[in-house]
Amino acid sequence: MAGRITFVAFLGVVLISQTSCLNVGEERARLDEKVGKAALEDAAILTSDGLGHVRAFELGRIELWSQAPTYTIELTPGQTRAWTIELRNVLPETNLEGPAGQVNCTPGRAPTTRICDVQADGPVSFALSVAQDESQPLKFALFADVQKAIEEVDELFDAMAREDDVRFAVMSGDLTDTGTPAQLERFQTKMELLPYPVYATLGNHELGSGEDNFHRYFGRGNYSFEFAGRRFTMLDSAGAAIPQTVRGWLNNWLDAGDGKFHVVAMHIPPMDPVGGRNGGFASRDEARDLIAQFAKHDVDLTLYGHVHSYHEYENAGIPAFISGGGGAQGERLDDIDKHFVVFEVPPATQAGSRHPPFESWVVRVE
Amino acid sequence: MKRGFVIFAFLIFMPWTAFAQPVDTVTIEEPSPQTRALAGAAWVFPGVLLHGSGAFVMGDTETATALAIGGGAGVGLGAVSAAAIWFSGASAQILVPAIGASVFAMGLFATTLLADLYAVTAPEGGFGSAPDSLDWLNLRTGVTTVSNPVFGLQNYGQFGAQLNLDDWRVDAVALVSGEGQHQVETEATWRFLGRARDELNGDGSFLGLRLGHLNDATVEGTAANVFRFEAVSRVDGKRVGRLLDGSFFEFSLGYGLGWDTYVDEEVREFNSLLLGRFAYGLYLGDGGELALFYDHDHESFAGGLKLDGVASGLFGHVGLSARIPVYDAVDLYGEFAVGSAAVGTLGVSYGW
Repeated sequence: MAGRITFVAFLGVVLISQTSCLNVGEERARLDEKVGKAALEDAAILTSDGLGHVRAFELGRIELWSQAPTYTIELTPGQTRAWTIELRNVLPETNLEGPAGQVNCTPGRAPTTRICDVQADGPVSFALSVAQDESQPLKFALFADVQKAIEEVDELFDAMAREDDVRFAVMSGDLTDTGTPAQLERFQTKMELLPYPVYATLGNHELGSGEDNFHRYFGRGNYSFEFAGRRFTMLDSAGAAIPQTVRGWLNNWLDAGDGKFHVVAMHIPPMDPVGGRNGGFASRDEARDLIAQFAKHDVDLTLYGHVHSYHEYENAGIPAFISGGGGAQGERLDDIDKHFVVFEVPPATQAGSRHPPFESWVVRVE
Repeated sequence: MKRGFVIFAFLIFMPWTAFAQPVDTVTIEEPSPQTRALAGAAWVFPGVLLHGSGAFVMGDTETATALAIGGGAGVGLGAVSAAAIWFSGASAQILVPAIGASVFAMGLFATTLLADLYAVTAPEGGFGSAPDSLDWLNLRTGVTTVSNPVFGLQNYGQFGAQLNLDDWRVDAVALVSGEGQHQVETEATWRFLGRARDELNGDGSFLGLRLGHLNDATVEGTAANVFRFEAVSRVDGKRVGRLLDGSFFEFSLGYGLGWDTYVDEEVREFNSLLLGRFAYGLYLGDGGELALFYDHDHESFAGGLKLDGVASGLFGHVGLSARIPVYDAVDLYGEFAVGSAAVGTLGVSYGW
């Protein structure tokens, strides 16, 4: 009897120890909620939807890492009148709009950095401002899965920089090998080689050194923004699932994207087109449910990483692309190595039709 | 030693060779409490690395050797699979068979480790043996509760039937919720090696092929249809070693092909699925049994384990299943599995 009890107890402990792991990503969603706000003494800052991650906040100096081309900044200056706001990862022509005569922006040390001197006598609101033309096609790039190849990422970025008229890049995860602060910082430094910003979410490799490192350097893993009449939604699927809290946010973002060209990007695809490999979500029920939500809201384009190759397929009829050619060890038999993808989506004025046609092409980096 | 090679061959290359082995019945002296304690310590170290250490201390070198070879084969196969994945850059053409081999390797490693624990803790002959015959018809009904962080708590009524015809077994099970969501699974298994239904005589070992179909309409607006083809096996522990009498190993490996339907979009998309399962269990007598299992199936309610990190999405789910005879032909059955969801099933069955 003692043996039977020991055996069953062992089995029970193994199983019960697993039940605490059902809601992966929920803690990172909690971290998302904290992004974009800071306070010191009598001064405080708040960025809309957490799209500006407060990298540094000292009296008179603010450093923001941007996860969208535009957002607003609410500044409560306290006793400090003169402030310098360093905007990182922004479009080169970005300006801050605020009360007349109170803002002056100049180029920073990188093409994607702007230094804005601000005078604030009391609580004040600024908005990042860039040229947006809804009547023109919009070009953006996609890449993912750099991992260990951070030191060789220059080749990729050089090639990406040569693409004309690209406004920004979407990075769908695995920026680094294990997500250490040093690796993330190195990646950010390398990113500044590009003449346009990169909006990133995290991949499973970013979870190799703790859950909060990505948030410390980049900000939110789940976010959504609108640019030139198109909506872009980035999701943190690094845990092979989208937690319930994020599903709630996603419903709002999907509503906001109705009637617009809507791009959704994440690292691990809900469904791997090579199903037996299962480079997709842990639960296919959850994957189908998520894809059905995308289809219900007429999402136009889904972008993924994780698989170190290139796949073009459909999920629920929505065009889907997997691009994992950022430099991590690539598949040997697929005839594609380091690469990125450029998309040219139609003018926003055409977005009334369901899944309006867009163009895409793969750029191989030799 | 000979048995060790036999089980190694059975598990890797030639499953049918195990059936050529006679099943011995040997009576041995009950080990002292001190010996069991020492064997328990040996199961931990060096047993976690060198499987069979517990059985060795218990004085059964045949069982110890078989488990050491099985565990070592698991490590070896796992290393070969990992190397194939690494050197192919996780190529899609290599990855699917390599993951299948990895699941098998995990199974060899895990089941031989559990078997060594059984060898150390179980009484001589175990807690029971396989039944002498299987019911030709078994009907069951129960309740399945699914706790999924995205879908919340869902309850399903479960209705199932199993028909055993000599070398064939046909199973059908339907799950229906109050909201009309449903899942229907049917499968037919040809047990081409092993004793016939009414001639088991306490040996449940078999090797077979299974063809199944799953229709899953439990997610609103979608449906999944998967045809599954699997090789399935059960090997009674007594075929591996004396101290494993009363236990069993199970392995299955296969592939599923099907399609996902998005109802509102009227879209069907092809899908495929790697299938792999292993279990180690013990017989409880009178048809009862208890097993701990790993199932690579990401399509089931339990899906895959949510492991935040580099291995996200890779693994399937783990679980514990039990069938306990309660009265005459009436059994209680239950299963608890954890993956993306926690899934519990409890029901009653009646056999003829």
